[in-house]
Amino acid sequence: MGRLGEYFRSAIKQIMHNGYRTFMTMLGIIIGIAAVISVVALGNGMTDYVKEEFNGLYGNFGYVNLDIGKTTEYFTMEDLRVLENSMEDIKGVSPSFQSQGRARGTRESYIATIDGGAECQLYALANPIVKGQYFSKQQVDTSQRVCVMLRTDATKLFGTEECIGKEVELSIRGKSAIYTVIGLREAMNTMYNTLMSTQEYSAIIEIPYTSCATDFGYDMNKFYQIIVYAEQSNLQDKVNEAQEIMVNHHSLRGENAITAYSMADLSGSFDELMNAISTFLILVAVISLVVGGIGIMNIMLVSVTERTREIGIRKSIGARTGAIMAQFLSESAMLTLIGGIIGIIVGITLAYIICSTLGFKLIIDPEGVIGTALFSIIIGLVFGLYPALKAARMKPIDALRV
Amino acid sequence: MKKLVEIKDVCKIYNPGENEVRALNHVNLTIGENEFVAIIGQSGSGKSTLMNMIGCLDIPTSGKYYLHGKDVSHMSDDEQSDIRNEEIGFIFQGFNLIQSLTAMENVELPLIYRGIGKRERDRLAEVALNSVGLEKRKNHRPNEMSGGQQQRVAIARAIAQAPPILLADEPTGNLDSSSSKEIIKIIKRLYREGRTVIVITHDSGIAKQAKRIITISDGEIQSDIINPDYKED
Ligand SMILES: Nc1ncnc2c1ncn2[C@@H]1O[C@H](COP(=O)(O)OP(=O)(O)OP(=O)(O)O)[C@@H](O)[C@H]1O
Ligand SMILES: [Mg+2]
Repeated sequence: MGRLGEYFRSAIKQIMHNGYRTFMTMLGIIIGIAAVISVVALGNGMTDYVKEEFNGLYGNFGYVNLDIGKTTEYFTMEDLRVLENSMEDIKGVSPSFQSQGRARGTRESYIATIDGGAECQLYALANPIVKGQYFSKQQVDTSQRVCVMLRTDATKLFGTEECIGKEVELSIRGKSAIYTVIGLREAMNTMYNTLMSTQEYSAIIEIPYTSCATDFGYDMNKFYQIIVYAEQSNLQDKVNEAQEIMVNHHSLRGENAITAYSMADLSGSFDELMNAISTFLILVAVISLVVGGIGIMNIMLVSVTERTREIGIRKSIGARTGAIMAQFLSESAMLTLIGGIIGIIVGITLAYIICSTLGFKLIIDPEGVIGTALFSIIIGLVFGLYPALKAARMKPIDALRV
Repeated sequence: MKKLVEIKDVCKIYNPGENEVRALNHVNLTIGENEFVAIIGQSGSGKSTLMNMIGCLDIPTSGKYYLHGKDVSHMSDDEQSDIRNEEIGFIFQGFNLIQSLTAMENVELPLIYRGIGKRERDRLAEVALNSVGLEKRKNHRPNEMSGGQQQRVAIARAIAQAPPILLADEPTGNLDSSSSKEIIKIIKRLYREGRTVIVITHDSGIAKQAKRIITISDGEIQSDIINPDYKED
């Protein structure tokens, strides 16, 4: 260990001795490592951003659909009960009675998307309840005229967020009913608002599907779509399970009349896309690292040639092959390590600048950084190997004759 | 007198085949412990080749070389490195110091390769530098010292790990006469302290100070005499 310490000390000395050249040599490594670090951070930030926006818009749910072209069957409330009773680890199942209508508050009237669903429809959006509460199972079962809207809707309709208990008139296709506001959701995120900015403002109002059916002419015992709410992690399985149960329950085996689709499919393909982009960028970064490594090899070869006499001297006073190897390897490993550290600093700075400009969260994972530093040492060792071997194999008499 | 170096029928042939050079031609030579030998001969006669052989920097084309009774003529590179480290101190014409290291660090090098710890190394290096009168130049680099001082650093490096043999190839070849005298004085003292000293030179003034003078010519030993003019001083 003592000897290795000596080699590293002498490596540092050697590197300091040749400041400018050392820096130029390290440039390739610095650029490569900085690229890896900033690209990975950028990728993480982008993934995080899109995921956040994505969940904010869609939540975690999937559909089970009846194809009316293939069967005359339809879903009823009994199907909901069957699913609820036979499935575990789900957040709930719900029909989805969705219509465009109008909402009139004490201040203004706006067009609105009116969503009739069960209490589990709470999970349809990631936006949390910020005031009051979502409607309960009991309120659904007893067809209460209660509703939940977005915080922004409240301000538009009532001019204030203090509107719990206030009444709003909802109308769909000429039918109207008065509903009481019992909860407010957090407003939609920036991405949604950007997407919707060209459209006329539309409120999002959620009501129990039971009262929705009664007031606006839906049939609770004749619908074609069931929504399954579950955790993202098991969503795919649960949606498939629900499909299976419905196929059996309606005896539609082999007819492809019941289809299933989950948001997990979408987020899966998004992940794939992100992975493909990351892989490509990392590949580019690795290529630049290899180019940097070849630069290190060249300089080390030059250094070995320049220091032939030194190698001869060291050997003549008793340096073994391994000692000369270790000396040159520690020099190149040190070069790439220092390059790597500078690269990490530059990379994090770059990532910080880019992420804050684009509004992404700066995500630096420490393992990745340490891994990158280790990788840069490995590059030094790999590309330093040939020059070091060349140095170590010199015959002392030949080396001294130079 | 115990035998230290025993060279038996050694040949060294460069470029075997066409235009080959017989640098050493069937050389037999024995040097005992605590001898002071000068090897003289014309340029190209094979002096340096012989010294490389004795110093385990090269291996003979044929013949045997026993050091301390051990056959060292067909050793691996690393074994030769160890022998050089333990048995031999080199003093070269061109000093052969490492320019980026200070005097102290140069002297410590052979001790590092022997695996001696930092503290002991410092102590030994200091003793060696003091013994050549360089206590004030420990932290100077070679380019900050005169030729004579550099050669003294090289001598300190050669004796730091206390090898029994000192091999000097034209140690004063690059020095003016007063530095030369100083170096020769040190070398003689090292001999008197019990080391075996082998000096290669074509300066007859230096050769006359040795106890034994070997003359080689065309790779062969021409004469091997006890110096009648030798005097202790
Ligand atoms: N590596 C080599 N390849 C070929 N021939 C060599 C090599 N080294 C030495 N020789 C030849 O061997 C012979 C002896 O050389 P050596 O260096 O031993 O001479 P020397 O007595 O030390 O001379 P000098 O006094 O000039 O230093 C010379 O003819 C030289 O040309
Ligand atoms: Mg010579």
